[in-house]
Amino acid sequence: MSESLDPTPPAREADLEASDDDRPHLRVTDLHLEYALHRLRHPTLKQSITGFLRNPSHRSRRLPALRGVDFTLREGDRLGIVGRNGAGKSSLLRSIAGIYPPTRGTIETRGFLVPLFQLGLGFHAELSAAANVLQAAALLGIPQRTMRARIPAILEFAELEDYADVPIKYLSTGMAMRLAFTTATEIPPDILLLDEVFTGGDTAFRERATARMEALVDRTSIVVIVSHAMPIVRRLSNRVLWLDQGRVARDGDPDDVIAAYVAAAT
Amino acid sequence: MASENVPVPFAAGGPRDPRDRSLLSWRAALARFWVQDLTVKYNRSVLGVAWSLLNPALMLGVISLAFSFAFGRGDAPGYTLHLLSTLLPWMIFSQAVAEGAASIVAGEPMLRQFPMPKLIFPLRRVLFRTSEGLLSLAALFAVAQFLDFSATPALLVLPLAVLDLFAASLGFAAIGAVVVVYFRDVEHLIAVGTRAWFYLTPIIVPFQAIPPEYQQWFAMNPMYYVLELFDAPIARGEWPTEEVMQIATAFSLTTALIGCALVRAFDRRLIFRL
Repeated sequence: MSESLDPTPPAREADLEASDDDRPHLRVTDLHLEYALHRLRHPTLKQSITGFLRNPSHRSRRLPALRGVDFTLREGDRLGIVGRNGAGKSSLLRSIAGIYPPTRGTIETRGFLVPLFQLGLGFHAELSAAANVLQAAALLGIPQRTMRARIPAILEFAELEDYADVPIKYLSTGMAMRLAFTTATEIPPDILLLDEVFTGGDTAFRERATARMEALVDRTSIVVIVSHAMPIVRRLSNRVLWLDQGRVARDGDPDDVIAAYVAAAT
Repeated sequence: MASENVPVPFAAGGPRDPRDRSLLSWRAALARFWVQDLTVKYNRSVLGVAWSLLNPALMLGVISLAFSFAFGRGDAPGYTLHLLSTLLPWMIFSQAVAEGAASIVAGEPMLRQFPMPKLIFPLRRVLFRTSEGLLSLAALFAVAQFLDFSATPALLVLPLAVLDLFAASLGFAAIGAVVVVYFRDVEHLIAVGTRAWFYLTPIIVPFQAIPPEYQQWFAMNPMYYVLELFDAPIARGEWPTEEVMQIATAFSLTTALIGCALVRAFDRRLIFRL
């Protein structure tokens, strides 16, 4: 479940007791993540051959995105992550989601985890609203039977009751976004990862969407939120972690950390 | 149905740990992709199904008419049956490989949000093309009634034929999908390659019509054996030889194994190259 390239991970996170192991938790230990900067981002066979002939000893540069991040979250924890562009916020979130395997260190999760970074993934324009809800459920890992029972409620909240059988290409962009948002926020997982997911839609819907998002956060055991919107971070989280160049600059009470971050950024 | 405030136990329906990259735990997503692809293709209407099936039948009719005149052969119905039974599997193969090779690169947005096993992408394309091809094949049997097609027990070999075709397609699609992530221009080379391979495979010219001195060269083409599994029972009403079955099956399963192993080996690295 946890993956380690480091033979001796530091045993500094003793605050998670053995009896807690069956409860939802998220433990990040000494997390390092490096990207290799390749000569060409999307090389072709042709360019690779000519490049090799020109400079056979070329090696790709390593770019560290995360350099030793530690934290443990348990039920009830809502962690906000702040930091400048390129500080490693999204890299951290995607590492937790299992997208980027750590270069070093471990990530241990217990409980059902749902990443919400981009809405409407897997939606197909030719398919009906109901079919797209089921498709999204399959990607989120929600059983089809569970989601099928929720379709009426989802369409009602998204104000799309009359469009269940209509291919979503006939919906406006805002309507499709409403459907995507409502689908993704219907069922609370154990661990929720949010990356700036705040929706489009008209003003009336945006208010209801914000309330729905807060309700989802309330019903989820552990939430990790990445956002540049400080009011949202302050409202949703009870702990804030400030990332700076891949390191934890500060970690603790939301008001203190946000104040320090804002002071440093201005 | 759970009430609004009680979290639904995800565990009931096959939940996933972020680091669980087994295809098994993503089977619901794969099944849904399959339904989605077929729904879009057949457009949820009877007319859509009918048209989708009529289309390859018409195309095949044109080609077989043209070629049986071009070859000036007296046994036109037999030739049409041969063409029917080899061209269609080949189209499944070449389309599945072409689309499968592009599939991981095309799946990037999804891969940046969900830790899916990369194999799901080529597998999805191959599943879709095979299912669609089989529906067309079934429709073409209806057409075949007008040719001198006769159902024989040899048709029982068709499940093996389909399995081998599926495995060979998956193998090449999976290999292609990994290679294309690293070298994007290979996608076009694959299109050229399968086109060349088409002409090197006894499809337009049946194997028996190839001059004997060249037959040994064409017999080195493994896809000939896979297609022969369709050709022998459908066009000639006879069982493929044991040798043909062995070569076709060994080739397809080996290819599939290599392809799947390659995707698995690169599974964690590909995301850094997308």
